[in-house]
Amino acid sequence: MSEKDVVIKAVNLTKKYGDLVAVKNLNLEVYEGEFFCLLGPNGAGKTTTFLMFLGLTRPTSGSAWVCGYNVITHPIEVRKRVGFVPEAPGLYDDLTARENLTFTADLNGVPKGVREKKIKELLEKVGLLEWADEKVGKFSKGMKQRLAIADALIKDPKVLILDEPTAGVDPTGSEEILSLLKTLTREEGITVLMSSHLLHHVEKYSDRIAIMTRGEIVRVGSVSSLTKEENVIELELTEVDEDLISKILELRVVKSVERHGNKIVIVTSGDVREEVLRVMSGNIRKVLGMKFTPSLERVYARYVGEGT
Amino acid sequence: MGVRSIVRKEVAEHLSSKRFPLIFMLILLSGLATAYFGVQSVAQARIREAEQAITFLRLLSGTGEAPLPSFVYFVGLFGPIIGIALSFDSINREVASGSMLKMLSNPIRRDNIITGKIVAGLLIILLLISCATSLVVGFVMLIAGFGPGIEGAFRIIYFVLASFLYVGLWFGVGLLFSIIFRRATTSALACISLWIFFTIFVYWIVDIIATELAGLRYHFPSPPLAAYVQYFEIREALSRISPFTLYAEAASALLNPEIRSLSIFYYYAQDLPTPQPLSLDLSIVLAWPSFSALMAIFIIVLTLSIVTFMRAEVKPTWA
Repeated sequence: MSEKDVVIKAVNLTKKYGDLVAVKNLNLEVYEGEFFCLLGPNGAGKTTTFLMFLGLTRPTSGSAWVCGYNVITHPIEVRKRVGFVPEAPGLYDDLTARENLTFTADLNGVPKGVREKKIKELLEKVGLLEWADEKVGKFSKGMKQRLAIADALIKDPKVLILDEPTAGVDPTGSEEILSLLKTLTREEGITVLMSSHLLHHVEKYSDRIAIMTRGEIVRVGSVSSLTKEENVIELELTEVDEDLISKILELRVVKSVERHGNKIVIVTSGDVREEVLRVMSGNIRKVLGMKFTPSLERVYARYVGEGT
Repeated sequence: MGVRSIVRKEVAEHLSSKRFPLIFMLILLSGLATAYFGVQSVAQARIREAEQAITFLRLLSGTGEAPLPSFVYFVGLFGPIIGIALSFDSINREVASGSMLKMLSNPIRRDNIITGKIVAGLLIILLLISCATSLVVGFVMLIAGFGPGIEGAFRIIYFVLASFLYVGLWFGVGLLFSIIFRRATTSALACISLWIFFTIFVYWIVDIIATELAGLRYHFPSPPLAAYVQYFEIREALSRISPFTLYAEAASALLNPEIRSLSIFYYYAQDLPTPQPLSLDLSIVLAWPSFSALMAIFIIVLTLSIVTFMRAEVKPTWA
C-alpha cells in the first residue's frame, strides 16, 4: 500500500501515568477503508491509545497522525474527521434519540437546513428510526451502541474509532453492530478502528488485527495470516500407536501431539495435513476423520499469556 | 459555536430536571412566608404615606418585630443550596456516563465546555432569583397595598444582583467539587459540609475566638464596656470570612435605607433620636466593601473551577 493510504499513523507513541507505562513505543499504521481491530485484555492500553489518536491525551513521547494531521498540534482538525464511540456510549438518557443527535450535530456545526434530514438518514441506517422520539434511557445496550455510532457519524467522519463497542451487548446485538461497521467500511470507505477482547467477533469481521498487551503491540497482521500461526489438526483413526505419534512429532512445524483414545490432536504452526497423511501411508490404519482449525484464540493466548 | 450549543443543552437540561421546580419552590415559599408575616405585623401599625417605601423594603430586608426571618435571611440560608443543586454533579456525572468524552471528541475546545456550563448555570440562577424576587415583591404589593417607589425598585435590582453573586459563588463551589470529586455523592456531601460550616459553625468558632481574645472570660463576672466593644468588633471582623455574613450585609444595606452602618455602631445609630434614611448612593457606598468581597470570591471560585477543569487530564477511566 502506498504512503497516501495511511489514515492513522503512530510513531513511537508512549504514554506514562507517573510510573505506570500505559502505552510503550507504539508503532502502527492503519490504512484507508480498513476494518482494524485492536485486541487485548483490559488495561492493555487500548483506550489510552485511542485518546491519544483523538488528541485528548498528550503523549509522553512520540507522535501520531490521523488523516494527515498531527494529533498534538492539530487536535481540532483531527476531531473534525474522526468519530468516536466511547465504551460507555455517553448518551443523555433523558433526551430522545433525535435530541441526542441534534446536540452532537450542533456541536459539529452541521447547518440547520440539512440537520433534520441527516439525522433521519442516520437513524434509518442504524435501524432506530422508529425509536427516534423515545428517551434513550429505555434503550437496550445494543441500541445505545448503534445510536452512539449514528452520533459519531453525524460529522461525516473519515475514521470511526470505537472502544469495545460490543462489551455487554448480547450476541445478536453484537452481530448487528459489527455488520453495520463492516457495511460502513465497504460501502462508504470509512476506516474503522475498534478495540475488543472478544476474539470470535474480531476474527469474522476485521481485515487486520493488532494484539496489544501491557502497553505494547506484540503482533500485527491480517486475520488469515495470524490465524495460520496456530493450527489444530484433529485426526480420528481406527487404531493409534506410539510409533505414529513420534513420527508426526518429527514433522517440521508440529509443536505437540496429544492422544485421546483413537483421536490425535496435533498443534502446528502451519498446514501439515499432507505430511501427516504421508507419514501414515503404507500402513493399514484407516483415517475416519480429519479436522483442520486455524485458531486465533491460540495465537492470542500465546502473546497475551495466562493473564487473560 | 461550541459555547452556544453547550449553553443551549445545559439550560434545557436544567429547566427539564426534577430539581428545578423543587429549588424554585424552596426559595419562593420562604419568600412568600416572610412577606406574609411581615405584612401582618406591619398591618397592625398605621403607616404614613411618607414611610410606605421604606416600610416596603423593610419587609424584604427584615424587621426586628417580624416573627419569621427576612427574605434576605432566607436567600442567605437557602441560596447556597440552589447554587449547589445546579452544579454539584455537573462535571462528574458527565465523566461517569462517558458523555464528557463523547463531547470532547467533537471539534470543540475544552474551555467551551466549562464556559458553556458556567454561562448556563448563571443564567438559570439569574432567572430563578429575579423570578422569585418579582413574585415576592408582587405579593407584598398585593396585600400591603403600596409599592417600593422608584428608588426602592432600584434597591431591589441591586439586591437581585448581590443575591446573584452570592448564589453564583456557591454554584462555583459546586462546579469545582464536581471536577475534583469523581462521585456525585462525595461532591454533594463536600458542598453541604462547606455550606453548614459557613452558615452555622463559623459563627460558633468566631464567638469562641472573640470571647477569648477580648478577655471576656478573664473579666468574668463583670467585664468592662471596652472588653465588650472589643468582643463585638472581633466577632464582626472574623465572621466576614463567611460569604453568608458578606451577603447579609450587602443585601440588607442595599435594600434598607434605614441601615446607616454595618459595624457595631449600628446598634448605637439605631438609638439616635431621628435617624435619617440613607440615599441610594450612600447605601451603595455602605454595601460596597461586602459587595466587592462577594464579587471577589465569586470570581476566584469560578476561575479555580475553570483552571482545575482545564488542567484535568483525560484518562481512560473517563471512558
